[in-house]
Amino acid sequence: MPLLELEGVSKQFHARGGKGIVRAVSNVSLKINAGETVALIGESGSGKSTLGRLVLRLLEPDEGAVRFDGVDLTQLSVKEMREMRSKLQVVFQEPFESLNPRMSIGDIVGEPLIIHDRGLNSDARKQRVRETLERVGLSPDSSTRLPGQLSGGQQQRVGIARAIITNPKLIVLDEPTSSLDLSVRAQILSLLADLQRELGLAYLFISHDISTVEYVSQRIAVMYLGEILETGPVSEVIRDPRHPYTRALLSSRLSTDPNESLPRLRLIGDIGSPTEVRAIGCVLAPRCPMAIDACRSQIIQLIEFSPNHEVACIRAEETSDALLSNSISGGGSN
Amino acid sequence: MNQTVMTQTLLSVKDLSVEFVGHKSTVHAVNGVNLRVNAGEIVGIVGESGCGKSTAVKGILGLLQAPGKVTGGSAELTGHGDLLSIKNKNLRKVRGASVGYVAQNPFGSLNPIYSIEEQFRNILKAHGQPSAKNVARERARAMLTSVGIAGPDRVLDGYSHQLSGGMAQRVVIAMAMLLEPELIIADEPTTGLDVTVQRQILDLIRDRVVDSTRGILLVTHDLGVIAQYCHRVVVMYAGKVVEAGSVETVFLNPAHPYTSALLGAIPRPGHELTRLLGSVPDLRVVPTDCSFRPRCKHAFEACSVSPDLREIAPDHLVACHLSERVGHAAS
Repeated sequence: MPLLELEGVSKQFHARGGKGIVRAVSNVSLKINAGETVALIGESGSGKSTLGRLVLRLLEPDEGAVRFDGVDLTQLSVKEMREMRSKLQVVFQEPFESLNPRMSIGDIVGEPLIIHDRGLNSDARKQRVRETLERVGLSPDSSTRLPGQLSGGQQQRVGIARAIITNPKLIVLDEPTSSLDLSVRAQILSLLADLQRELGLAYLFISHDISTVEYVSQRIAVMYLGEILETGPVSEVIRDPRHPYTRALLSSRLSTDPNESLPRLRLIGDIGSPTEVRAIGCVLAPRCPMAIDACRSQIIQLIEFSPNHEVACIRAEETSDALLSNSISGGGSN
Repeated sequence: MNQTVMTQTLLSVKDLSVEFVGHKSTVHAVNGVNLRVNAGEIVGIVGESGCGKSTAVKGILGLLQAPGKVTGGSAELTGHGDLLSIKNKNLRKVRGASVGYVAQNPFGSLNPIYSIEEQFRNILKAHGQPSAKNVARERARAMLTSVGIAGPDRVLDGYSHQLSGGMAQRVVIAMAMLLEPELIIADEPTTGLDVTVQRQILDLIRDRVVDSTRGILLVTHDLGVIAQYCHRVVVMYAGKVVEAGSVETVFLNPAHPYTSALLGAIPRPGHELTRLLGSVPDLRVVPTDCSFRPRCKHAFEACSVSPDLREIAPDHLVACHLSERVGHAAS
């Protein structure tokens, strides 16, 4: 049984000014096994952060089930959900924004223990805080300091300490390294890998950075306008992407080897609007150089391309750089 | 590419220093930076937050805000003299006409209460160029089309808040290029943008330079941007240039341990990430030793004296005592 299983999860928002509906997440199914890292990758507006919030039930899904350890979280009462949250934690992108500037580091990291009522007295709690701070590479002395006195990397370590102190099984990492410098990012990624190994954590790693995702995760799910378009083992998806969107996204990577230039594929125009609802057809069709009539008239679903590798494209077998590079003149329309 | 065009220097910065003077202490943000941009060339400045890369270009452009102040050096723009000694009023004429500036946040560069068309017109007016409505609109429209905007009229009639981030940055680039400046200084022009848009914007910037007499100084923290778009790179650490040279040389044979550590911090499957320990030094103190010494695993006795930037091979400069040791390669 997977640790986390999303089945047909959807979430809509009303657009600002009452103009239509934003389909932030549409009919998403996804599994994460214990101890595994699954990456959710996509551009801004793809719905990846909304999906992370639905997993944590920080947002209520309109449809679908979120099963964690076999329990459907959407059916839990507020009190039951609160208890469940000790097993299900989150680390946000902006470490400083997510820490109370007036609370000491020790209080921030120790607070989950008070909420989850571990029957710990104050001394035992302080001891756990000290251990947890050391585990994430902070000196126990830092517990008396305030978030503003720490660097960005140290602040993110505090965010991670707060997440692991309740011994969770799953942590949603929402762009945990995006606001950090390269050398600090490397430190945090290494820390996350160490913690996963030592504590058997599963991660849902939300990111827009392909090289980070490739480094940290075993499986990957590619999102575009609220839908998962491709999912599979990270090495396979990156080596041989079958969805035109995945292929275009990967080709936008900039290799750090000056002698390596990746093929240039470009979709037509900019990312579509999630308010333009299509009842039928592929979400990428308006931008896809490979699109044929059937892409606009059929219901497109994820189908198995190879074991564990699913693609939501009726032309997945044919996808190639050659078919996609016909669109080089595209781009730039608003 | 024409060899004589390649070697013509557009911008030559020498010993640039910038300080932020506070009540109790002074932050030495930029300490004696040297760099050069040739015609037809994109030069990247790379480094982590606080290394002084943005402060250096703001100093060159005269855009530092108090208490920031250029305290030394020169920035020679060919044909215009030293930018650092030009008086403010005259500097405004050079900026825009001879040096274009593209900042990280396009919305910070656009005025929310003027239409995009009016802002294009204002640039022409400020530089004493023909700015009649139809003339200005035609020039703006042509410029927007050249930066890949398919519907320039809709953009010109609209306001900045109606644009996406990628579109707004295209508009800012079009404005920076309106008067055909020889040099464009772009400070993290694609940092807030999605990856698919990033490449389109960088292509645009590159297209303006290749096979031309123009040049670009591109500030970024993204090593991929440098590797794919720049000809030469300047690596900064703690307000100083620690390494400079052609991108191939610096990326494939880095000679400074900091450059090596940065390159090693890029996540690659199957590779251990370099763990660069410690943090950047306190810039309130002027170091007498090498600024990187406390974090450097190769540090030895000589590092107690701050190293000068010296040429170790043609067009490859390094500020590290290790490079004086024969046959050494940093790793």
